[in-house]
Amino acid sequence: MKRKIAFVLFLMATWNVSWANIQPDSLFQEASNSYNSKNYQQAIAQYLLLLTDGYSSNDDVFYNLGNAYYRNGNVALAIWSYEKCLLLNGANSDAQVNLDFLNNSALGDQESVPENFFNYFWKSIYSLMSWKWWTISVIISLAIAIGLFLMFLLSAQAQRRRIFFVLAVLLAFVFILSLAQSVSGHFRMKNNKYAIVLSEAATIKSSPDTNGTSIAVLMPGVKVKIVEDKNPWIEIIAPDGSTGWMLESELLPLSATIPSL
Amino acid sequence: MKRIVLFSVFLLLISALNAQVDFTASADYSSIPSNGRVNVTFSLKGANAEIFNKPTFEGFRVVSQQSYTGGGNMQVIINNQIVQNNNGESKWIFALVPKSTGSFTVGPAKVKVGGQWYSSNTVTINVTSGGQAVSNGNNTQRKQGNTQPQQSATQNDNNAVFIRAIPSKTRVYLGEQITVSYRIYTLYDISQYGVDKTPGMDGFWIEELTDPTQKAKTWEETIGGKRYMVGEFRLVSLIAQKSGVLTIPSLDIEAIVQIPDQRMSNPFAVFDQFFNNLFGASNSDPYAGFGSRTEKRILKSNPVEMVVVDLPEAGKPESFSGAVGNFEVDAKLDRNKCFTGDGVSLKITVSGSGNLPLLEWLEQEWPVGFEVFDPDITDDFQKTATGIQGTRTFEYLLQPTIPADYQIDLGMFSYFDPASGQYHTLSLPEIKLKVLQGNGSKVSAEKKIADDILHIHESIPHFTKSENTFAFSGWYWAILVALFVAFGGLLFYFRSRIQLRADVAGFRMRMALKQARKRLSVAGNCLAKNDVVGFYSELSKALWLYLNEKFTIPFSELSHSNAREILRKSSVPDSIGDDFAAILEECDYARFAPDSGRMNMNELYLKSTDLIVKVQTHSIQST
Repeated sequence: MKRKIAFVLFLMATWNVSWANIQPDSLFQEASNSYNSKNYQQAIAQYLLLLTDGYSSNDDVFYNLGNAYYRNGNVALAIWSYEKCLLLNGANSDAQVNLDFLNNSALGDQESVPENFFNYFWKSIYSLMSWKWWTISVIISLAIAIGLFLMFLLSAQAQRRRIFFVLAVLLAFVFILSLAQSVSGHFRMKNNKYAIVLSEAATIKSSPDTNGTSIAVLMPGVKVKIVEDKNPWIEIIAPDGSTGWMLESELLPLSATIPSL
Repeated sequence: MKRIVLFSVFLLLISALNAQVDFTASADYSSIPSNGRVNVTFSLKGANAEIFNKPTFEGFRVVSQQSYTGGGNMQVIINNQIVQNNNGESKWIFALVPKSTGSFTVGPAKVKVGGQWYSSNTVTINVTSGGQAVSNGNNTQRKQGNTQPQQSATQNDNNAVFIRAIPSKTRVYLGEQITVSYRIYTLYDISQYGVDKTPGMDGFWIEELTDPTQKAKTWEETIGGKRYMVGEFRLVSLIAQKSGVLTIPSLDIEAIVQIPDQRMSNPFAVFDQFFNNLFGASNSDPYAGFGSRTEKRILKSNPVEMVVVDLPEAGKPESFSGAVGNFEVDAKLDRNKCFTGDGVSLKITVSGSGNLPLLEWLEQEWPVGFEVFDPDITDDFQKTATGIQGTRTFEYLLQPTIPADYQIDLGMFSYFDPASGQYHTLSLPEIKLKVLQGNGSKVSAEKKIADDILHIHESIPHFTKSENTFAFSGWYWAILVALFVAFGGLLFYFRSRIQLRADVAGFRMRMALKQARKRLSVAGNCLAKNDVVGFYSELSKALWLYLNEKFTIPFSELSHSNAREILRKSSVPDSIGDDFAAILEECDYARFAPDSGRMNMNELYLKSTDLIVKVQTHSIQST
């Protein structure tokens, strides 16, 4: 935490801005300009400043940050940023394209256990719109469902009653789906069980011990599932299904709001 | 790790016979002094021996025996690589020391090949009480090389055996191929030698040109009035990899040299030799013949200095990729017509001599609409005395994705000719390929694999601090709760209207209609089966049941007379009520008096269905 604050203060000094007047719009614009003038280091710092200042609920910041990281040569952090972006907005298809590109070009074809169908289906629905819109959809669909139900109750004609009833049930279903998606999306963001391998040639150990036998070596950028956290060791499941222990410092969890510094 | 090169002990010239199995015996001397030594060699060509039976060596004592089994069993190791000796020749060599003087016949030896026994010829050796060894007639080379140095052997022994490294050139261009020949110069017999230390050649790419399965090339040379036997035991091809003055370090070999003894003619020399051996004064092996002594010698070649010059910058073509030598190029497609998605192989062949093994092909610009894989490189090299020659083929696999007529320009190939000191540029033939639309490949043409990330999003989003976001905030939940409360409130406010609209009996009515249709369908079944009695009873049953459930009137209160009344009460028009009653009557009539039917059964069925639907709609409208 201290280091984080120190870093932010350092950024402040560099960009000559104070706590009071961070203008997210102009900072975002400046960061885009830095990116376009190929000053990726500065662009990263500016996007990070936006995040540390609390503007971390916008997926475009993460998307642009991922691009800047990739251009700056850090594939693992770029992958992390795209994953974060997609958690906030599954409908950000550009982020998905870039993430697929990085996974293909940097990590190559990896052996991985296929995701179970329900998860895949659930996530595909999630990526219909951003999390923000899922939460708004909860309120809107509930309001409409209530309205339609009242119409059903109050109308006299059988035909109309039938139509209103069907529509009300449909909207109630949308309400439940939206609520479930926004709640599960919320927990995926806050308590994400996945992490991105950051360090070069991170080894998986068979036991939480530096002397444990090495099971495999993971490339930076690989997404692993966290099973158990025994500081400083973390039990993980690698994409190919093998389990083992890794050092916490070698991973960046997707639940983190900004990359650890 | 010991590098040992074994060569045949004596450079015997064995006449080649065309026979399938050639089993011969030969001796290196036809006549030896009684203190001499003779080697008898049995050589089997063209087959592998299953059993070898050595002959009795009458009058001789066998001091050593060696066998080389050909046909793949002999391993020759050069530079840590195992090279099979496949010349199909097996040899058994016996070193013999005579027991007494006289003429002795050695052999025949027998071998079993393919279940058959073969005998060798016999060899006759004369053992004389003194004098010189007389070698076999066909081996004059050796005789000369052997006898001459005897006079000066002791005086100038250092020059008797030495090795030299002779480069084909000492001033070379970077990348130019040269050869270095290592030769052994000797006045004496060398029974055996092996490369002790191969020097690491810094700055050079090396390829051994010596074929271990072949006998070393030998000839005679006269140096300083002496005739030396010269054997080229190693020939390497070198390609300079960096410019400057480079040194090829010396090469060490270990040779066992047979030095003819000067005191051989002295009758007392035998004793000298004996005592020498006894006290270990020389390295000679105890079985050595008394006529000569063997000595192990480490021979060192001269280091060679090379001046490697950079290739001239002047006139260096753009297409130059480092080829030095003399080359020709060709390019060929395996076909000139294909479908999208097919694989077409393009072979670019570079042939000639020079630094072929180091040759790389320049990155090629391929037209859009092709997927090209990295080339496979296949080599066909011949090792010649002047270096490596042959062809290197770059095979590209092209996969066209878009149908069109293509003309692929393969560009130029340039090389530097060290002989003329000039660059030459060759143009490759243009490749024509007609690509037709194949089935199922459209997808691959359209699905272009992204080769870069997409650009950043520059439009400024609406920024809110994450702690100020509306989603899942206190207000958010408050609104959700408020919606539910409002719903409850509205339900309460409209409760009377809702009760009015929601007719509780409506459900039962719809159920009644369903029930009636079900009942009618049973009757319909009877109709289909032409079951007259069943049809009428089912039809009337269905109608009565309908009335009972639709208007919630118990069966006890139902009768023909009040059915019409009930319908009228439910504001069903009189005409419908009349029809209803008529159908009920008709059913009863028909049940008790069949075949008197005034109405068709089918007609009746349709009419009653229609009637129920009519009653149904009227009664709902009224409520």
